Amino acid sequence: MKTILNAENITKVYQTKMAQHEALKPTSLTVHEAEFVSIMGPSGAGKSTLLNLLSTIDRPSEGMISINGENVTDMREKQLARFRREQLGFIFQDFNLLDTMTVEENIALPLALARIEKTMIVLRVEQVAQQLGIEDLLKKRPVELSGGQKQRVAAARAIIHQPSLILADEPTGALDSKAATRLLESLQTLNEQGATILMVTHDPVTASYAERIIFVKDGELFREIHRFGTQKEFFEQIMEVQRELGGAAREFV
Amino acid sequence: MSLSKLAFRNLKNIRHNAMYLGAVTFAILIYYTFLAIRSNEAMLQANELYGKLGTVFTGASVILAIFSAIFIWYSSDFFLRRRKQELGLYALLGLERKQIVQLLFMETIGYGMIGLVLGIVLGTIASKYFVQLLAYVMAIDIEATFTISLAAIGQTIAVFCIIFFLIALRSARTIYRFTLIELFRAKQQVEGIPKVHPFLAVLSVLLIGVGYYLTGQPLLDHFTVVAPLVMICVIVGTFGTMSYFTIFLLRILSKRAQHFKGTNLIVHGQLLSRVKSNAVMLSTITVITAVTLTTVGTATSIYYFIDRTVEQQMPYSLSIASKRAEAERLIKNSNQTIEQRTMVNVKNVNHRMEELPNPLYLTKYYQTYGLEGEKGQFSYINYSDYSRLAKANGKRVLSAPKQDEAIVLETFKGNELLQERVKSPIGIKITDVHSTFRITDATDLPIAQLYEKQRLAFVVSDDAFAMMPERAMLLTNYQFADERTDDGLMKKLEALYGKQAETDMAAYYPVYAMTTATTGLLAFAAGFLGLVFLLATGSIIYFKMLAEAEESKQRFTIIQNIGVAREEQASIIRRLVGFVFSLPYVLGLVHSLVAMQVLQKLLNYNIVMPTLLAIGCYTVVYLVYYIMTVRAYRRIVM
Ligand SMILES: Nc1ncnc2c1ncn2[C@@H]1O[C@H](COP(=O)(O)OP(=O)(O)O)[C@@H](O)[C@H]1O
Ligand SMILES: [Mg+2]
Repeated sequence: MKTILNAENITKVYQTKMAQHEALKPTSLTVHEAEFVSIMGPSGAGKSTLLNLLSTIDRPSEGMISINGENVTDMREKQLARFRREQLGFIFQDFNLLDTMTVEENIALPLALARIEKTMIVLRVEQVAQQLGIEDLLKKRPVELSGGQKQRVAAARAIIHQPSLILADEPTGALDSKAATRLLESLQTLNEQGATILMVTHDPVTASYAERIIFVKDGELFREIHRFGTQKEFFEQIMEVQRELGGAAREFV
Repeated sequence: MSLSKLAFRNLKNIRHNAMYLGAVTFAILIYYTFLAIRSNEAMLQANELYGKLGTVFTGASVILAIFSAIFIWYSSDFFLRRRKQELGLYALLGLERKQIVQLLFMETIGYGMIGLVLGIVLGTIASKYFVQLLAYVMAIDIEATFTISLAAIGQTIAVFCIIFFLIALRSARTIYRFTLIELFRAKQQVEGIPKVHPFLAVLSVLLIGVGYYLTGQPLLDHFTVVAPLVMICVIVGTFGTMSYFTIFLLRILSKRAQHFKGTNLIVHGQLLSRVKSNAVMLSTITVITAVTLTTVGTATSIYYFIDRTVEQQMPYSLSIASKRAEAERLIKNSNQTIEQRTMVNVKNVNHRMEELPNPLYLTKYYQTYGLEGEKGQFSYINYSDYSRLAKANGKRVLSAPKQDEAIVLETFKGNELLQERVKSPIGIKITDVHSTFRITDATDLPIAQLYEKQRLAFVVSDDAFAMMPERAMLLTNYQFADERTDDGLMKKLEALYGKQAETDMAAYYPVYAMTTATTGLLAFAAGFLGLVFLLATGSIIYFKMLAEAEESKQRFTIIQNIGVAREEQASIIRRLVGFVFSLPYVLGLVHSLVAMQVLQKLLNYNIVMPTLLAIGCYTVVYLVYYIMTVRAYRRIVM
């Protein structure tokens, strides 16, 4: 199977005025095409740090990352920006939609940046909007939407340019459970259609939608589990690891 | 930590608030400088001489005070906006609103005091150089010194205390109006998508067009109706254009395929979301800019053309109608030397014409026909005197008129604004109490500059002149070697003529000195105010854009994450800032060009040079502001 993401011994050290803080200890991981991987761990474990490195938003202190065969650690800023908008799709906890634009324009942004013809863009927007069930919202503005709707718009924006990898940081963090379920089911469907997804979450239910979970604790990879049976069984498995993790148990009450 | 300590600590954080302090200091500096110029010892002396400084300066200082208030208002708005989050944090930490308001109050006063000290010190220095400049443009000889004027300091402190008090009140209102959570997350306040009103949009632009069109019409006939109408059309049209047409334009743009090209989506969205809250500011700035440019252009033009104006009015250094010997003795004893002396015999003859034919009635300086019971009169000189005068003035000598013919000594220009067609005076007949002459030629030769003595003048043949029964006056004109200086000769001449000084003597120098001083003063005041307005409007846009930048930080983080390269982000910022600067720049420029076109006709000047100068300064200042704003914007969001 084709390797989409490969990280080798990446670390992240945050330099503050007083001290250095090693937010991520040497870490390696690989994501293959059409995988749905979840990174799980308690708050402050370094999940976002890891995801920001993998998504090229931040640079690792050491180590090497390659995405879709291209080494992104050595890329210049301009190259990197171009790479991000062509190869990656993002879903953030706080949606990150531009409030000054309509839903349609928000979704169209990655294609507009790629300078695709307007007619093509409009067609493709229709397509992904239908896929995510938001075709009635296209002319609205983000402020008029509920959290769940916003996040589906963000998902539409993340997939419209058919990126090699979709990255999601706590995508359900700001949603109620119904909206969360709906979004996760959409992600699952996208994954079944071939999208590669890497998702960060601290919520076991959310994580259980993935097919592989990597646990993170104190800036280190702690354990990795694969789904074999049903989602329910997978959830039990997660809870098991959770208990092993111990210290962070209160996170999931 | 007590509140005052917190306030003091915040004050010390000058680097963060340097811009606000700078704005406050600038406003105070300008205001104080202006007052200090007025009360400078040297200016007080000049004031006694001409007595016009006071009113001009008082008027200007009132305008400056209002402007300072608006200016500080905008900059402190930005300042407050940027700090909302910090203030929210104080609230979260348990500070009551009353205490936050007190804190802001203390800070405002604190910065006010620093600004006052800095502004007054810098203003004292600046005013010396401005007094020098003013003395130079007024062509008066005074020594400018560093003077400290208590009255000016007092007035500055009083005016700015009121301004700071208003600012503090506004801050208090803001704090009380918002809930804690709003303060804390003050950043994202998206305005709804503005409605498009195509009808109003087109109407606004049409209104401006109508205003422009009206200026091309004969104005003076219905001046009191047309002039306010033009103003209303243009001002209302400007506000409409900024509010409705910009939205209309952006909406049209967002319908086009170009909308979906690159970062256009982002730029259009951001502009559209801002239009409404910027419209009033931009239209106000446009109107102010137009008025300023026109005023500065006109004032400098008038100053620029003083020489010509005075030369027209006073072609000779001195003209006299009596006491020639005594006057010449005085001149001989002064520093002046007579370069040329011309004498001319003039006979004033009554006439009964009620109205002079076109174009004779267009003569400017002479009382030519009956006023208040007096008889109408013409002045005549004979051909011999004429030829000598023409030769002395370096003019071509026209051929002699026959017995019933006359040459009129005046060239006629129409007034475009009045739309008066000027016919040739040749062929027109004039009739006085004795005889009738047919005009055969026209030339612009001044026979003297004694407007009490002479009327519209004609050259007739020596015989015809001799036959007129009236007594001839002998007028003498002198050309001095250096007519722009005076070592007391003028005073002595006035003393010599006494009561007759008004009718029997007219000199170039007093008119020249007076005109230079008054127009110089006007040009200086206009230039000073113009520069201040320009800087202030530029700064207002600057602060408004930075407030916008503060609120757009999040948006730029988003597009950075999505993969908009920094270069593209910079280009987005350049376009956002460029749009906001170019709207008032272009519209204000066009307005003022149209206005100056009208004034040019009214004043009969060619005002291209001074106008270009004003526009050049304006463009440079706006460019500098544009670059500064783009840089500061980038620093905030990138
Ligand atoms: N920009 C930063 N500077 C300094 N420390 C940071 C920064 N970002 C995150 N950290 C620290 O790194 C650790 C991991 O943070 P993060 O990756 O955000 O955790 P998570 O997403 O798992 O909750 C935390 O201790 C956090 O305080
Ligand atoms: Mg996180």
